[in-house]
Amino acid sequence: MSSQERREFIRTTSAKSYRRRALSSRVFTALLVIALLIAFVPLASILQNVVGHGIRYITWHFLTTSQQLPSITNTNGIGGIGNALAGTAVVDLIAVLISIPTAIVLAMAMFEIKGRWVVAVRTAMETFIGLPSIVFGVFTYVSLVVTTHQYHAYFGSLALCFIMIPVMTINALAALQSVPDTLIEAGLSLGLRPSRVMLHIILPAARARVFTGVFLAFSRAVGETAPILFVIGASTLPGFNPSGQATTLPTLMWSYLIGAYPSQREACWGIALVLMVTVLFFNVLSRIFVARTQRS
Amino acid sequence: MTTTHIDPPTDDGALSAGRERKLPTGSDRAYGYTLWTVLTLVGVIVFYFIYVLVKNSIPGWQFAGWKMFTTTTWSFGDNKFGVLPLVMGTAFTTFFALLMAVPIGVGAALAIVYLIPRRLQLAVSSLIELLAVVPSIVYGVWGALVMASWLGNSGEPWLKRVAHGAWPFDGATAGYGMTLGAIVLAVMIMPIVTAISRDVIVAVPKELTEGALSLGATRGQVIRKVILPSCKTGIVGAVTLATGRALGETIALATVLGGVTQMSPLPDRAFATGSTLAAEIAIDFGAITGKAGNVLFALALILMVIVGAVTYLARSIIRRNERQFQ
Amino acid sequence: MDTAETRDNVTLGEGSSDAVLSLRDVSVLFNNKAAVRNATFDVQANKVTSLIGPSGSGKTTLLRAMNRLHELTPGATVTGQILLEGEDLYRTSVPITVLRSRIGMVFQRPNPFPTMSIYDNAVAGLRFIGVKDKDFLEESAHKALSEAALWDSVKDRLKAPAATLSGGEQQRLCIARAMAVEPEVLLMDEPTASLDPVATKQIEELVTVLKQFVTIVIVTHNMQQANRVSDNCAFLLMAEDRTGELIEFDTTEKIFNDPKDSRTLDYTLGRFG
Ligand SMILES: Nc1ncnc2c1ncn2[C@@H]1O[C@H](COP(=O)(O)OP(=O)(O)O)[C@@H](O)[C@H]1O
Ligand SMILES: [Mg+2]
Repeated sequence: MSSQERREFIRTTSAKSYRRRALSSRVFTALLVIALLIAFVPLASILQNVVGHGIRYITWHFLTTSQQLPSITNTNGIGGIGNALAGTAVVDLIAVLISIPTAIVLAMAMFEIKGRWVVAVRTAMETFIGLPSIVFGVFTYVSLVVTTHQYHAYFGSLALCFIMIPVMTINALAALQSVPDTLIEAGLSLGLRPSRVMLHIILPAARARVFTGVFLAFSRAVGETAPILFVIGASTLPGFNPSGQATTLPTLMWSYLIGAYPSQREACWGIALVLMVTVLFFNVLSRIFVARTQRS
Repeated sequence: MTTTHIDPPTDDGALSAGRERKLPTGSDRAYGYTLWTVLTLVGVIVFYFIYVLVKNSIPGWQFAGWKMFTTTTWSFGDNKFGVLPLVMGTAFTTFFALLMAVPIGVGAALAIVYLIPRRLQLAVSSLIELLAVVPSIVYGVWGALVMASWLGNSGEPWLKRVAHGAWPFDGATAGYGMTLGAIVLAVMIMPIVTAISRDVIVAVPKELTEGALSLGATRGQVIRKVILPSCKTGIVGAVTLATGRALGETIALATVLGGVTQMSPLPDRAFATGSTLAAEIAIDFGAITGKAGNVLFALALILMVIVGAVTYLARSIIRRNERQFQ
Repeated sequence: MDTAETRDNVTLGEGSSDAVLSLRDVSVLFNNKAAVRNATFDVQANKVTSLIGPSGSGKTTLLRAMNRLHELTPGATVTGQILLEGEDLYRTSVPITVLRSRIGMVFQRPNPFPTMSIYDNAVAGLRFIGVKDKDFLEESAHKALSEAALWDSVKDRLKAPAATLSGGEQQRLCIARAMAVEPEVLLMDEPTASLDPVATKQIEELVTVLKQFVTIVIVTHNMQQANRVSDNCAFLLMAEDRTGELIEFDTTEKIFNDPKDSRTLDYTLGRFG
């Protein structure tokens, strides 16, 4: 075949196949668009239900009074979520107070120290991020509830630390590693001690990304049910005592979801709305910090 | 999504090579000790965690015996510990969740990157990733209170009608069951698949797209013949990570699966009820006592090993893929 | 290369009869800001036309306009006319995929498809446009790889991944890939920018050979290269407002030895850019 014939053949084929190719391309891209649209259906359904069913629960009464068990005479009387809000505050606050410093120091250690031990701990943290959270619930139950025969709010905090510390640590480590070497060398060349370099140069430079991890971890932990369900007991009174028992928003939802009364199940939506707003708030905070680090 | 927002640390987790710093130095001893103390403490807790789970599982293994893996009756209250229904329930829900979530998730990611205006890309993908921050318990509520009745009243009868009641779309339709579990899981893992696939797709060099276009490829051809093959490893990583998540999901499934029945314990049809390893731990925990309790710890350990291995595999795949384009 | 003869026998610029590609008042705008303004020149058949000029003067931008690649960039617009054998690329009813297969492109960085073998890369374009005949594909691969001076070194490993080739070989594979669809024009954007001197020399030799099969437009910021390989040369420069302008278009001989514009002389003598 001469060059000219080849060119002719290719041009003819190209012109002939064009319609088919254009059509199959259009069908394929249409499928992608459909996939994208389908991806929004569950989100729309969840938001619609959570907001639609939940919004009428958002009253001062609901937010501040404690839960009540419906009775045969008043099957709708479920009270409010004041006790669960208090419980959530106590359990999560303690968890955060333990997790943040631990995670940051741990990340600093992984940054400064070399060796197998560090690699092992880091791999463990990375693996923990992906583990089913119920495993941490089981562990906390076995190691604390079984040995003390008691339920405490702070047991839940400790269980949540297993969720938060790995996420915070891995994020903080990446943050520390993203600080430019030149900045660190500048500090060292001034004769600063490693601790000063870390505290006054590396950590401030990495701050925004560290916070990203903190908020991300927290937004995950707030909604966790499985790790704390078995270890914090339950409390229908609003109390802030870490050594007392506690009910949190997710555990209250769980007990309502498996509860006997329709009014309890319906109230799940109200709690879900409060929970979603809380989770979203912290997730958006983390995103703001992500955006900030990307800009700088 | 959680996973995608965590930038993996560079491989030399410790001090990068050029930086010579020895710890602890004379005047900085307190700093070094603090670091070592926390590192050691966390390491010890990790070992203690493994030790506790293993130690408490052993009585469970002994109590339940090998017939755990050969019998099909799981009835916690009666000390019948055949885990096959749970294993199969886990496999069933995860597999069908992937079957739904992967094409939709990858397709959505491709649409986000290639088909919608750049201004909207971030907004659209953030919206989908919103699904990843919805707590498990909210999915549980949505599944049990919304999807269950929809499936029971419309979805499953429709499937049954379309299939003329042929297997696997035969038998009673309750709404609760394996299909509902798979759908709930699919919704939960879809954002993971989308988020990671999107990152992987965005990382494909623009030159490849342009090279294909300049040869006369259509947009569909570019995506199918050039982009997708280049993204294969990354997408496999995303799917593996999603698998890990699906295998371990507990609370969202605990109220939607309907429970293992004595009559037909194995999920042998689409509308069968059943349970999964993870969900069953939460369900039976209320009745936990003595040796039977140890059986639950054993289940937790199995679950942890499987999910840990899958997640570890996923991370190494994703990391290898990230290096590919550097 | 006989530039003297070229100059004598051929009328350059507008209206020349053997123009494969004619640019008329071509401007490219990104978000309404012009990157190249009012470029007018003809690309002659079976000649090498080089685009030279300092970085940012719009060479790449202009080259991509000749393949309608700017359509991928949101906010990019091309005005004026680009005629491929008399047919306006931007106003024709011929579908863009058919058009693009008539105009090959080689990029700054070698971009073979990493998941395909050497053979699959070479025939990728043919497969895209619907050629299925196995014999024809094999023949085309042989022809294109030979034209790209790659056949002998890869004929025993056609099934190997393209990524196993060296940088220079990868770039030649990209040339083969483009040549396989028998384009009328081959656009090359600094094809040697990422290559070592030996590979660069091979590509340059290839360009001078290939022009018997295909009309070539090559962007380069290396003036010796433009001088060595091209017959005609377009010189672009940024105006005050940083928009690229075509300063001068002529035979390469003229541009380098006897330019009309003093800025061309300054540039070719290396006084700036
Ligand atoms: N996609 C784009 N969006 C906005 N501006 C662009 C884009 N591509 C190129 N430009 C601008 O066009 C000008 C010319 O760029 P280019 O054609 O790459 O120059 P050269 O190839 O001569 O170095 C530059 O000022 C550049 O900023
Ligand atoms: Mg350029």
